[in-house]
Amino acid sequence: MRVWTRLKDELLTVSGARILIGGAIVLFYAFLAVFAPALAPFDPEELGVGPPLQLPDSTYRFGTTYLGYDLFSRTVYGTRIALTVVFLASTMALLAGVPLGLFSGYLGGWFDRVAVLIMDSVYSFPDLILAVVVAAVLGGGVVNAAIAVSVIYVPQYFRVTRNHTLSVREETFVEAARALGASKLDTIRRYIFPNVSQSIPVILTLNSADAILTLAGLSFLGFGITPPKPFWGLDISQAWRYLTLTKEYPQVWWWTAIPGFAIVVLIIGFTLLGEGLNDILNPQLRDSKR
Amino acid sequence: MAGRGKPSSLLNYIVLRLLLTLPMLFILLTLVFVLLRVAPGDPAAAMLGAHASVEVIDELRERMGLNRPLVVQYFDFIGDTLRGDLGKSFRFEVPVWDLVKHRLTATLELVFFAFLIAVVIGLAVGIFSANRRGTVWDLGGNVYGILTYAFPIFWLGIMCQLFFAVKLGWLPTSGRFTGFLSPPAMHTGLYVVDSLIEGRFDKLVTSLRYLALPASVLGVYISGIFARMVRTNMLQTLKSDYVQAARARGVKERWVSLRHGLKNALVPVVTVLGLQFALLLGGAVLTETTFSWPGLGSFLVGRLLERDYPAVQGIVTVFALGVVIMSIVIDIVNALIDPRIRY
Amino acid sequence: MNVEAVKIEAVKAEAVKAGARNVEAATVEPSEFGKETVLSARNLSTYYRTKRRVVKACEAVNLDLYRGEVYSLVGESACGKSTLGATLMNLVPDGTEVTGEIVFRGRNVLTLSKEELRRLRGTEIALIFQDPMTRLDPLMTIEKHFVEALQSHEPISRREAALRGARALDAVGVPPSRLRDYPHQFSGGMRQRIMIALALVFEPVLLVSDEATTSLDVVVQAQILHLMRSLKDRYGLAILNITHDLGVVAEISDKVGVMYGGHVVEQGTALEVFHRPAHPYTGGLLNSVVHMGTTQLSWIDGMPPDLGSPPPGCPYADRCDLESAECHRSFPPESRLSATHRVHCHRVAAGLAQGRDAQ
Repeated sequence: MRVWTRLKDELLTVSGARILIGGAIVLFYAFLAVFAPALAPFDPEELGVGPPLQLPDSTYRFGTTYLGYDLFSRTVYGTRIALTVVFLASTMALLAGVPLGLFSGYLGGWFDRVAVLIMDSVYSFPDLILAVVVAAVLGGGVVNAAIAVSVIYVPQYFRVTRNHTLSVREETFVEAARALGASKLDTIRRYIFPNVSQSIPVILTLNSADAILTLAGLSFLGFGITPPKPFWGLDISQAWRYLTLTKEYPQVWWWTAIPGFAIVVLIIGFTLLGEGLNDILNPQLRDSKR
Repeated sequence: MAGRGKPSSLLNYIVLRLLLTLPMLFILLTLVFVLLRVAPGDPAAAMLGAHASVEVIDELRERMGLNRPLVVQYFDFIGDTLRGDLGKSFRFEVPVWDLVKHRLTATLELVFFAFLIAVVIGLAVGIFSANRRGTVWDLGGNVYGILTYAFPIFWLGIMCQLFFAVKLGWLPTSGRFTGFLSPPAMHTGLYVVDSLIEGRFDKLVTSLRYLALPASVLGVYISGIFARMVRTNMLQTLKSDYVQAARARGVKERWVSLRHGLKNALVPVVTVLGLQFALLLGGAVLTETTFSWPGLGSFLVGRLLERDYPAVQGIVTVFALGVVIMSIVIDIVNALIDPRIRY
Repeated sequence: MNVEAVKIEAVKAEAVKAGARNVEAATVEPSEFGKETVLSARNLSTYYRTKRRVVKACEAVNLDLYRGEVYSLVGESACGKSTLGATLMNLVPDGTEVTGEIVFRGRNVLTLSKEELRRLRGTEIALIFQDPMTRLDPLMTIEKHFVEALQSHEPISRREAALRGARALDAVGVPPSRLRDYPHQFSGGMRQRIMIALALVFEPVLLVSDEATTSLDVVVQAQILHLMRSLKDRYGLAILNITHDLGVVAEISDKVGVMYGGHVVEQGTALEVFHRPAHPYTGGLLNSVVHMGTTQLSWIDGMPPDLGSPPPGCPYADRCDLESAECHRSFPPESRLSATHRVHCHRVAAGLAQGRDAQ
């Protein structure tokens, strides 16, 4: 009973409310992604399932595009691509950044100095430009897009892990373990890693928001996710191209507005979730790059 | 006691910072090289596409010097760049620098005004919510931060085009200047400045009208993050001992908040601004594409789509140089604000 | 233990005698003739309200500060002495509950508006703090600190303000030529001198010093104390000196108040409190001071009470050797041992009553 009261107190704070709302949004998108085949009335990659530029109605709930794609089906299936890329990119960035940061921070010396210099340089370079060049060189596709996006986040995981490792390394219990003859690898695995992993969820969540924006940007520019795959950024891009070619601006508002809202709401969800977690888990980690 | 404020100490500091950025420049150039010469495997084949014949590819490889060992290519690239030679565009067959320089000034103009807008909004919102911590206003500032972050910048751009340019017809939809007037004569390459130099008020208004939407969209996008930084750092400094001491001395509250709170918050904020400059450049690529702004970013996208790797390499090098220069500027500004850094 | 018990017996006996002597004196209102009262606090309480509980940091305090006198407030850490200092200047955070009365030169500080308070601070009441290293804005020259402080209170040109700053620095022994320097170019002792100069630039009547010498090394500490004393004599300042360092108290105090668990449990002249301590806690505190030739360390067992849930009776009862059932039931009333010497202790009260009965 008391635990429940404490939990309720925590959830009634601003941070708690953020976690609840953000978590609900992200779960909702995950739900859409899992049940997309059941929810979508049409094949999202099939041309001409409806008349071109149909306004939203009971059959085509979000309307259709110029080529007669069903926008509702595409929007729902878009969650799959978004979450897959986020998942892949985060995993890759984690797998590269965290071990590198651990070793760099733990070993120190010239290895650390060189690694920090390289990572800082990459970190200071404009994210989107880096991603767009990598995506262009690699070519389109979900996996390639994920690689392009993940490159940006490796330095972030590296930095956080390294800083954390440095501070944990100086703590008494780790020194004690070393004095008792624990091997370096053992010390990292048993003592440092559990500590470091505490700050990972927050960065992971906040980076997820960023990754979706980056992916959307890439797709808008014509890289990353390529037609006919259903993704929001791509739909906005197609609508924009149509708009600039025909100048028939106001007649197709749904074509840009709906995929845009899909992005905005998911970003808000991830951001709220990440900030809420941040407030509760580690208030000192506020305001990294974003 | 430590030395007094001699200008030489600031100069020493700047020289030291310049030396420290050399490794960063070197690493960024290496990164560009790896991305564009090593990663694609055979850049010549990639540029010509799958249907090119072996002879044509070989010829291009010969022409681009891709037959030489990678190490030689690498040092050639670094040497050329340091001499100011950015290579030759594959498609246009002219030096990349000649293609880039007009676009660079276009991007600088856009980024400068966006930055200005971001700083004004960011400071206003940040200070406002820090001084009203925990109130509805503060929450409003927070919502502003989250929303500006959550809106994809190109989407925001399109929405603004549709509303302000198409529906209301207040501003032009895209481009940098009207076809009915000749652009101002080149002096600086910044249309706003050049119009002033030429003394043509109509050209100045036209340039500003074209600039208004893209600069605002880019500026608003950055301002949210900036406001949040200002707020957190100001709250931090407002809690500090010297602020309490100033209050105990009966210093006017407005001075406490601005002279002590804001000024001390600026040091970390300016540092983050350096990182946001990178964000601004990334945002500029999207904004320029959305508004058909003839800048470096949209040019980069075009060259990437055409697989003109030598040109891409030159453009990305320019971006890298921009990042390095910005980091030096940030260090100098911080040294000017904080006496502890410069002595 | 034994030594202490004997000593406390002696204190008790002394208290009884003193009480007997003062039966008549106590009926007269203990105002001190010829002295100008600068600040008097009556029945002053400060409660911090957090979400779940109320911290009673300061409870029913009576206090008088006179011109040209140093009043030292001593006690262990977290006994409420810094809160009391902040309350007197009404510098407590928003939402803090302050009741009672603080009269500063005829005005009730607690009813002043924010702007009136701001005008009061700096010009008439000045505050100096414990850690001088972090109390000056690192981005501002010393001159700017002076200009800002002066311009906050009066219309004055930069040059004029800088001139007064230079004079103030000179008065505290900092070369005025260093006005253009930044805080990080000064040592801790120098910074505390600068803080004092900033505090005194308006010639206030009350200086509150919150552990101002604590973080300084002994030589510098002596210098600062000497400085404070000479400034007091020159300007006729009233000084409220908050400290836990009894050495500092002995050095400069005219009056001493001993604080425990949010209450001022004993106050009087330095002589009275140091030589005839009436409260068992004062006795314990004095005993725990290490003197030259001390061979055995003495201390008070236990911890001070949690101010979030104070005991109903005397806060010291749990640690007191002389406690009785009454001590756990109610807070002891004030007993006046002389015009200046007052104490809150059931034992002393009982002793006084006995003395009266005997008469």
